[in-house]
Amino acid sequence: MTKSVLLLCGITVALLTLALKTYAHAPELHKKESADKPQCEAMQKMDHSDMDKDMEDPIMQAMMEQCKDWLHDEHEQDVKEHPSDGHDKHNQG
Amino acid sequence: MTIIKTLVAVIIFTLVVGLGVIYSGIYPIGADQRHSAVTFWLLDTLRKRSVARASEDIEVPSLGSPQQLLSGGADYNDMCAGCHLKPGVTETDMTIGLYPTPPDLTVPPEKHDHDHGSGGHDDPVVIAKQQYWVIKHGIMASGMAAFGPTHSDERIWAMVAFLQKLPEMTPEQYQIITTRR
Ligand code: HEC
Repeated sequence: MTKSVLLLCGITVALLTLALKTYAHAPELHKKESADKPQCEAMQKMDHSDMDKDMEDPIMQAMMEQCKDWLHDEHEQDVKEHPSDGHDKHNQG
Repeated sequence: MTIIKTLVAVIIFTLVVGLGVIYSGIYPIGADQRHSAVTFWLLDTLRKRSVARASEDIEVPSLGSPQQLLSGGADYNDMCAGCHLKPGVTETDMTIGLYPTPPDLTVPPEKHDHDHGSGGHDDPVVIAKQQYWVIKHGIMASGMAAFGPTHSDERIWAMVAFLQKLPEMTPEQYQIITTRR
């Protein structure tokens, strides 16, 4: 008797946990739905003529936040591809 | 006395005919139909007045931080863009099939084909209050759900902040800002 009561309790708790999990609506749950990455390359083509405006513009700031890893990687790549830009040029002539 | 009798008779007659129409099933309820001008006016005015009144006393927090744009943008892309569009997309199954048609939120509010109830049609504060209220509570018998039960006020205000910037965003900016990392 006590056993089946315990079993029932167990099942109820398990089901409740499952149900609550399904209803929880945390931002992380959305993450799987969109596996895309921000296409940061597009930032290079945008108009940066007005630097002061860029720094104040929340849209630009939000994009920089989204792309900060990418901007960082891109810079490192530049350094790798052209390790000693400037110095070689003299020797190549 | 006869006046009162006639009045009562008219009222009863109208009620019976009205109920008869409802029960007969002849009213077309399909979303591929359009409301008659009278029904449209009734529902449109009802919605505008109700939203204007209910949102009157809401206090608008400061909106527009990059963090709000990121939170609101990701939520918008996941939950709203299918109905309310995004830069570069002009129609979806939902905008074609839903009636009332979900307003295109990628165009500035003053260019929407419907205005926003009396009292400051293009006052940004009034628009922010009303958008917050509609996102939180939804609109009955339309496709617009209440997101209040499942989302904090903070996330809803972030969506309002995002909506303020959405009309000026390019498809590329939208893609970067709305993607969850
Ligand atoms: C299934 C489609 C659908 C989805 C998804 C949806 N909406 Fe709506 N929304 C509508 C419809 C339809 C209306 C218009 C209702 C009416 O006029 O009766 C509306 C109205 C609105 C309005 C009022 C606009 C105005 O100009 O009066 C706002 C703001 C809004 N929605 C924001 C959102 C946000 C933010 C989301 C995502 C969290 C969202 N909606 C998700 C269908 C949708």
